[in-house]
Amino acid sequence: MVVLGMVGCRQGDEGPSSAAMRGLRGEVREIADPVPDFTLVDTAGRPFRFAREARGYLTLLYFGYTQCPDICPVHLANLSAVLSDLPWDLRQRIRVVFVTTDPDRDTPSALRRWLDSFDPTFIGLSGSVEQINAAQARLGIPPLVREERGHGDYIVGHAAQMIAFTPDGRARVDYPFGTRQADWAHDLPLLAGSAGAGS
Amino acid sequence: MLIIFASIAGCGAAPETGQLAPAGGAVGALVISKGCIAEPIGTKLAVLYFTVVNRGKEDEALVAVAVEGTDRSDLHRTVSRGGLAWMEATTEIAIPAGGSLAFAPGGNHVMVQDSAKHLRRGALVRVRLVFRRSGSHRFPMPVVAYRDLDQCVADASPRIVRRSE
Repeated sequence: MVVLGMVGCRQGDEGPSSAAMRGLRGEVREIADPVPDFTLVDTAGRPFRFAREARGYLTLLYFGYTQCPDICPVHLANLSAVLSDLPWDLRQRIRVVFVTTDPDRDTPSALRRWLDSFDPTFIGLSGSVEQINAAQARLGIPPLVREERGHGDYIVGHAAQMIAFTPDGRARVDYPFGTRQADWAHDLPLLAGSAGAGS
Repeated sequence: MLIIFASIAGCGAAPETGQLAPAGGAVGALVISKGCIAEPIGTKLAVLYFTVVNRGKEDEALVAVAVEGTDRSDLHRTVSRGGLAWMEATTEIAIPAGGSLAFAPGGNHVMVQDSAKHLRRGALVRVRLVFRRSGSHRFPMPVVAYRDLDQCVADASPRIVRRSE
Protein backbone atom coordinates (compact mmCIF):
# COMPACT_ATOMS: atom_id res chain seq x y z
CA MET A 1 0.00 0.00 0.00
CA VAL A 2 1.39 3.38 -0.92
CA VAL A 3 0.27 6.38 1.02
CA LEU A 4 0.52 9.37 -1.26
CA GLY A 5 0.04 12.05 1.29
CA MET A 6 0.01 12.31 4.99
CA VAL A 7 -3.25 13.54 6.44
CA GLY A 8 -2.64 15.89 9.32
CA CYS A 9 -4.51 13.55 11.57
CA ARG A 10 -3.22 14.54 14.90
CA GLN A 11 -4.35 12.13 17.53
CA GLY A 12 -4.50 13.17 21.13
CA ASP A 13 -1.08 14.18 22.40
CA GLU A 14 -0.84 11.19 24.62
CA GLY A 15 1.79 8.62 25.37
CA PRO A 16 1.25 4.91 25.49
CA SER A 17 -0.03 3.35 28.65
CA SER A 18 2.41 1.83 31.13
CA ALA A 19 1.17 -1.61 30.24
CA ALA A 20 1.85 -0.99 26.57
CA MET A 21 5.36 0.26 27.31
CA ARG A 22 6.20 -2.81 29.34
CA GLY A 23 5.27 -5.07 26.47
CA LEU A 24 7.39 -3.39 23.83
CA ARG A 25 10.21 -5.20 22.07
CA GLY A 26 12.19 -2.05 21.52
CA GLU A 27 14.47 -0.67 24.19
CA VAL A 28 12.33 1.55 26.40
CA ARG A 29 14.18 4.55 27.76
CA GLU A 30 14.27 5.06 31.47
CA ILE A 31 13.90 8.77 30.89
CA ALA A 32 11.60 9.90 28.09
CA ASP A 33 13.44 12.95 26.82
CA PRO A 34 11.42 15.71 25.22
CA VAL A 35 11.51 15.92 21.46
CA PRO A 36 14.55 17.96 20.41
CA ASP A 37 14.05 21.27 18.69
CA PHE A 38 16.08 21.46 15.53
CA THR A 39 15.35 22.62 12.01
CA LEU A 40 16.75 21.06 8.87
CA VAL A 41 15.67 21.15 5.24
CA ASP A 42 13.55 18.50 3.56
CA THR A 43 14.07 17.13 0.07
CA ALA A 44 11.79 19.77 -1.41
CA GLY A 45 13.92 22.52 0.09
CA ARG A 46 11.46 23.43 2.82
CA PRO A 47 12.45 23.98 6.45
CA PHE A 48 11.36 21.17 8.72
CA ARG A 49 11.18 21.99 12.40
CA PHE A 50 11.33 18.63 14.02
CA ALA A 51 9.78 19.48 17.40
CA ARG A 52 6.73 20.97 15.71
CA GLU A 53 6.34 18.34 13.03
CA ALA A 54 6.76 15.39 15.36
CA ARG A 55 4.04 16.48 17.76
CA GLY A 56 0.89 14.42 17.47
CA TYR A 57 2.51 11.60 15.52
CA LEU A 58 4.49 8.54 16.31
CA THR A 59 7.70 9.78 14.72
CA LEU A 60 10.56 7.45 13.94
CA LEU A 61 13.85 9.29 13.52
CA TYR A 62 16.96 7.82 11.98
CA PHE A 63 20.38 9.20 11.05
CA GLY A 64 22.09 7.46 8.16
CA TYR A 65 23.16 7.81 4.55
CA THR A 66 22.24 6.40 1.18
CA GLN A 67 25.63 4.85 0.42
CA CYS A 68 25.35 2.68 3.51
CA PRO A 69 24.64 -0.82 2.17
CA ASP A 70 24.09 -2.71 5.39
CA ILE A 71 22.32 -1.12 8.33
CA CYS A 72 20.46 1.80 6.78
CA PRO A 73 18.58 0.12 3.94
CA VAL A 74 17.77 -2.91 6.06
CA HIS A 75 16.32 -0.74 8.83
CA LEU A 76 14.19 1.27 6.41
CA ALA A 77 13.14 -1.74 4.38
CA ASN A 78 11.99 -3.65 7.44
CA LEU A 79 10.05 -0.65 8.65
CA SER A 80 8.45 0.10 5.30
CA ALA A 81 7.41 -3.52 4.87
CA VAL A 82 5.49 -3.39 8.13
CA LEU A 83 4.07 0.09 7.59
CA SER A 84 2.61 -0.95 4.27
CA ASP A 85 0.56 -3.62 6.00
CA LEU A 86 -0.88 -1.42 8.73
CA PRO A 87 -4.50 -0.31 8.64
CA TRP A 88 -4.88 3.06 6.96
CA ASP A 89 -5.94 4.99 10.06
CA LEU A 90 -3.01 3.66 12.04
CA ARG A 91 -0.57 4.35 9.24
CA GLN A 92 -1.60 8.01 9.16
CA ARG A 93 -0.40 8.43 12.72
CA ILE A 94 3.19 7.47 11.90
CA ARG A 95 5.95 9.54 10.36
CA VAL A 96 9.42 8.38 9.41
CA VAL A 97 12.15 11.00 9.33
CA PHE A 98 15.56 10.20 7.86
CA VAL A 99 18.39 12.66 8.41
CA THR A 100 21.37 12.19 6.18
CA THR A 101 24.80 12.01 7.77
CA ASP A 102 26.37 12.46 4.33
CA PRO A 103 25.08 15.80 3.06
CA ASP A 104 27.80 15.99 0.40
CA ARG A 105 26.67 12.94 -1.54
CA ASP A 106 23.06 12.84 -0.43
CA THR A 107 21.75 15.71 -2.50
CA PRO A 108 18.01 16.40 -2.17
CA SER A 109 17.24 14.50 -5.37
CA ALA A 110 19.49 11.55 -4.48
CA LEU A 111 18.01 11.35 -1.02
CA ARG A 112 14.47 11.60 -2.36
CA ARG A 113 15.05 8.84 -4.93
CA TRP A 114 16.56 6.55 -2.31
CA LEU A 115 13.78 7.12 0.21
CA ASP A 116 11.13 6.66 -2.48
CA SER A 117 12.45 3.16 -3.06
CA PHE A 118 11.25 2.34 0.45
CA ASP A 119 8.23 4.59 0.92
CA PRO A 120 7.43 7.91 -0.75
CA THR A 121 6.09 9.29 2.52
CA PHE A 122 9.43 8.95 4.28
CA ILE A 123 10.75 12.42 5.06
CA GLY A 124 14.35 13.18 4.18
CA LEU A 125 16.25 15.96 5.90
CA SER A 126 19.62 17.49 5.34
CA GLY A 127 21.68 20.50 6.31
CA SER A 128 25.25 21.46 6.91
CA VAL A 129 27.48 19.09 8.84
CA GLU A 130 27.32 21.51 11.75
CA GLN A 131 23.54 21.59 11.72
CA ILE A 132 23.27 17.82 11.54
CA ASN A 133 25.78 17.38 14.34
CA ALA A 134 23.85 19.90 16.43
CA ALA A 135 20.67 17.90 15.90
CA GLN A 136 22.43 14.70 16.87
CA ALA A 137 23.96 16.33 19.92
CA ARG A 138 20.48 17.14 21.22
CA LEU A 139 19.85 13.40 21.16
CA GLY A 140 23.11 12.38 22.77
CA ILE A 141 24.46 11.04 19.49
CA PRO A 142 28.16 11.66 18.80
CA PRO A 143 29.11 13.83 15.83
CA LEU A 144 29.24 12.07 12.52
CA VAL A 145 32.67 10.94 11.43
CA ARG A 146 33.87 10.41 7.91
CA GLU A 147 36.54 7.81 7.20
CA GLU A 148 38.32 8.05 3.90
CA ARG A 149 38.73 4.81 1.96
CA GLY A 150 40.85 6.15 -0.87
CA HIS A 151 40.08 7.12 -4.46
CA GLY A 152 37.65 9.73 -3.20
CA ASP A 153 35.52 7.14 -1.44
CA TYR A 154 34.58 7.28 2.22
CA ILE A 155 32.23 5.77 4.75
CA VAL A 156 30.39 7.58 7.51
CA GLY A 157 30.12 6.36 11.06
CA HIS A 158 26.62 6.96 12.30
CA ALA A 159 24.19 5.97 14.99
CA ALA A 160 22.43 2.73 14.21
CA GLN A 161 19.26 3.05 16.23
CA MET A 162 15.90 4.39 15.22
CA ILE A 163 14.40 6.64 17.87
CA ALA A 164 10.66 6.53 18.46
CA PHE A 165 8.94 9.71 19.62
CA THR A 166 5.41 9.13 20.79
CA PRO A 167 2.62 11.62 19.95
CA ASP A 168 3.09 13.39 23.26
CA GLY A 169 6.52 14.54 22.10
CA ARG A 170 8.74 12.21 24.08
CA ALA A 171 11.63 10.01 22.98
CA ARG A 172 10.48 6.80 24.55
CA VAL A 173 11.94 3.84 22.69
CA ASP A 174 15.07 3.00 20.77
CA TYR A 175 15.11 0.40 18.04
CA PRO A 176 18.69 -0.73 17.61
CA PHE A 177 19.99 -2.41 14.58
CA GLY A 178 18.68 -5.97 14.50
CA THR A 179 15.05 -4.97 14.88
CA ARG A 180 13.10 -7.43 12.75
CA GLN A 181 9.83 -6.90 10.94
CA ALA A 182 8.02 -8.92 13.58
CA ASP A 183 9.30 -6.50 16.21
CA TRP A 184 7.96 -3.51 14.30
CA ALA A 185 4.67 -5.23 13.65
CA HIS A 186 4.33 -5.84 17.35
CA ASP A 187 5.35 -2.41 18.64
CA LEU A 188 4.01 0.10 16.12
CA PRO A 189 0.33 -0.43 16.91
CA LEU A 190 1.10 -0.13 20.61
CA LEU A 191 3.01 3.09 20.17
CA ALA A 192 0.85 4.75 17.55
CA GLY A 193 -2.56 3.46 18.39
CA SER A 194 -2.59 3.91 22.10
CA ALA A 195 -5.01 5.98 24.08
CA GLY A 196 -4.84 7.14 27.61
CA ALA A 197 -2.31 9.00 29.64
CA GLY A 198 1.39 8.52 29.14
CA SER A 199 3.46 6.74 31.76
CA MET B 1 46.50 -24.88 -3.19
CA LEU B 2 44.00 -22.88 -1.27
CA ILE B 3 43.19 -19.29 -2.09
CA ILE B 4 43.86 -17.45 1.13
CA PHE B 5 43.48 -13.74 0.41
CA ALA B 6 40.34 -12.01 1.53
CA SER B 7 39.42 -9.91 -1.49
CA ILE B 8 39.36 -11.63 -4.83
CA ALA B 9 37.89 -10.83 -8.19
CA GLY B 10 34.82 -12.68 -9.28
CA CYS B 11 36.03 -13.05 -12.82
CA GLY B 12 38.56 -15.85 -12.77
CA ALA B 13 41.70 -14.00 -11.69
CA ALA B 14 42.66 -16.94 -9.44
CA PRO B 15 42.66 -20.59 -10.44
CA GLU B 16 39.46 -22.42 -9.63
CA THR B 17 40.35 -25.10 -7.15
CA GLY B 18 36.87 -25.94 -5.94
CA GLN B 19 33.78 -27.44 -7.41
CA LEU B 20 30.10 -26.85 -7.49
CA ALA B 21 28.60 -27.87 -4.19
CA PRO B 22 25.96 -30.58 -4.16
CA ALA B 23 22.38 -29.49 -3.77
CA GLY B 24 21.42 -28.34 -0.31
CA GLY B 25 24.47 -26.15 0.26
CA ALA B 26 26.52 -28.72 2.15
CA VAL B 27 30.18 -29.42 1.57
CA GLY B 28 31.74 -31.99 3.83
CA ALA B 29 31.18 -30.80 7.37
CA LEU B 30 30.11 -27.33 6.28
CA VAL B 31 26.45 -26.48 5.78
CA ILE B 32 25.64 -23.23 4.04
CA SER B 33 22.17 -21.79 4.50
CA LYS B 34 20.20 -18.55 4.52
CA GLY B 35 22.22 -17.16 1.63
CA CYS B 36 20.92 -14.07 -0.14
CA ILE B 37 22.16 -10.94 -1.84
CA ALA B 38 20.39 -7.62 -1.37
CA GLU B 39 19.60 -5.81 -4.61
CA PRO B 40 21.50 -2.51 -4.46
CA ILE B 41 19.50 0.66 -4.00
CA GLY B 42 21.11 3.81 -5.33
CA THR B 43 24.62 2.51 -4.85
CA LYS B 44 27.08 0.31 -6.64
CA LEU B 45 27.57 -1.71 -3.47
CA ALA B 46 25.66 -4.88 -2.68
CA VAL B 47 25.69 -6.98 0.45
CA LEU B 48 25.65 -10.72 0.77
CA TYR B 49 24.50 -12.65 3.82
CA PHE B 50 24.55 -16.34 4.66
CA THR B 51 25.16 -18.77 7.49
CA VAL B 52 27.83 -21.46 7.71
CA VAL B 53 27.60 -24.27 10.22
CA ASN B 54 30.74 -26.27 10.88
CA ARG B 55 29.68 -29.73 11.92
CA GLY B 56 33.20 -31.05 11.76
CA LYS B 57 35.85 -31.56 14.38
CA GLU B 58 38.33 -29.13 12.88
CA ASP B 59 38.25 -25.37 13.10
CA GLU B 60 37.64 -23.64 9.82
CA ALA B 61 37.88 -20.07 8.52
CA LEU B 62 36.27 -18.24 5.66
CA VAL B 63 39.01 -16.35 3.86
CA ALA B 64 37.41 -15.02 0.70
CA VAL B 65 34.16 -14.66 -1.19
CA ALA B 66 33.53 -13.97 -4.85
CA VAL B 67 30.22 -13.20 -6.51
CA GLU B 68 29.80 -14.21 -10.14
CA GLY B 69 29.96 -11.29 -12.51
CA THR B 70 31.27 -8.75 -10.02
CA ASP B 71 34.67 -7.23 -9.62
CA ARG B 72 35.50 -7.67 -6.00
CA SER B 73 34.00 -8.77 -2.71
CA ASP B 74 35.33 -8.04 0.75
CA LEU B 75 34.61 -9.58 4.12
CA HIS B 76 33.21 -6.93 6.45
CA ARG B 77 31.78 -6.64 9.87
CA THR B 78 29.72 -3.83 11.36
CA VAL B 79 31.13 -2.73 14.69
CA SER B 80 30.37 -0.09 17.26
CA ARG B 81 33.02 2.50 17.98
CA GLY B 82 32.33 5.51 20.12
CA GLY B 83 28.61 5.01 19.90
CA LEU B 84 28.64 4.92 16.13
CA ALA B 85 28.31 2.02 13.73
CA TRP B 86 31.17 1.38 11.35
CA MET B 87 32.02 -1.16 8.71
CA GLU B 88 35.43 -2.75 8.99
CA ALA B 89 37.11 -5.01 6.47
CA THR B 90 38.59 -8.23 7.74
CA THR B 91 40.81 -10.82 6.13
CA GLU B 92 39.18 -13.92 7.49
CA ILE B 93 36.48 -15.01 9.88
CA ALA B 94 36.75 -18.11 12.02
CA ILE B 95 34.21 -20.90 12.11
CA PRO B 96 35.12 -23.08 15.09
CA ALA B 97 34.53 -26.78 15.05
CA GLY B 98 30.96 -27.44 16.07
CA GLY B 99 30.16 -23.77 15.68
CA SER B 100 28.55 -21.51 13.16
CA LEU B 101 29.21 -18.23 11.43
CA ALA B 102 26.34 -15.93 10.58
CA PHE B 103 26.55 -13.19 8.04
CA ALA B 104 23.55 -11.07 8.91
CA PRO B 105 22.60 -7.38 8.77
CA GLY B 106 24.42 -5.35 11.37
CA GLY B 107 27.14 -7.95 11.82
CA ASN B 108 29.32 -9.85 9.41
CA HIS B 109 28.55 -9.25 5.77
CA VAL B 110 30.16 -9.49 2.39
CA MET B 111 30.48 -6.22 0.57
CA VAL B 112 30.23 -6.64 -3.17
CA GLN B 113 32.00 -3.78 -4.88
CA ASP B 114 31.61 -1.92 -8.12
CA SER B 115 29.83 -4.13 -10.62
CA ALA B 116 27.10 -4.99 -8.15
CA LYS B 117 24.66 -2.70 -9.92
CA HIS B 118 23.82 -5.46 -12.39
CA LEU B 119 22.45 -7.65 -9.59
CA ARG B 120 18.66 -7.64 -9.87
CA ARG B 121 16.08 -9.25 -7.63
CA GLY B 122 14.95 -12.63 -8.82
CA ALA B 123 18.34 -13.55 -10.19
CA LEU B 124 20.19 -16.57 -8.94
CA VAL B 125 23.89 -15.87 -8.69
CA ARG B 126 26.77 -18.21 -8.05
CA VAL B 127 28.81 -17.29 -5.03
CA ARG B 128 32.22 -18.77 -4.38
CA LEU B 129 33.15 -19.26 -0.75
CA VAL B 130 36.79 -19.97 0.00
CA PHE B 131 37.64 -21.76 3.21
CA ARG B 132 41.08 -22.23 4.70
CA ARG B 133 40.79 -25.99 5.10
CA SER B 134 37.89 -26.98 2.89
CA GLY B 135 38.85 -25.06 -0.19
CA SER B 136 36.73 -23.20 -2.68
CA HIS B 137 33.10 -24.07 -3.31
CA ARG B 138 30.29 -22.40 -5.20
CA PHE B 139 26.71 -22.00 -4.09
CA PRO B 140 23.71 -20.43 -5.78
CA MET B 141 22.22 -17.52 -3.89
CA PRO B 142 19.21 -15.42 -4.81
CA VAL B 143 19.16 -11.67 -5.22
CA VAL B 144 16.30 -10.29 -3.14
CA ALA B 145 14.84 -6.93 -2.22
CA TYR B 146 16.01 -5.49 1.07
CA ARG B 147 12.54 -5.97 2.52
CA ASP B 148 12.79 -9.69 1.86
CA LEU B 149 16.07 -10.08 3.71
CA ASP B 150 14.12 -10.36 6.93
CA GLN B 151 12.89 -13.75 5.83
CA CYS B 152 16.23 -14.80 4.46
CA VAL B 153 18.85 -13.96 7.03
CA ALA B 154 19.68 -15.35 10.42
CA ASP B 155 18.75 -13.45 13.52
CA ALA B 156 22.36 -12.97 14.43
CA SER B 157 23.00 -9.26 14.13
CA PRO B 158 24.40 -7.81 17.34
CA ARG B 159 22.71 -5.00 19.17
CA ILE B 160 24.63 -1.83 18.58
CA VAL B 161 25.34 0.23 21.68
CA ARG B 162 23.17 3.27 21.18
CA ARG B 163 24.93 5.88 23.24
CA SER B 164 28.55 6.82 23.59
CA GLU B 165 29.72 6.76 27.15
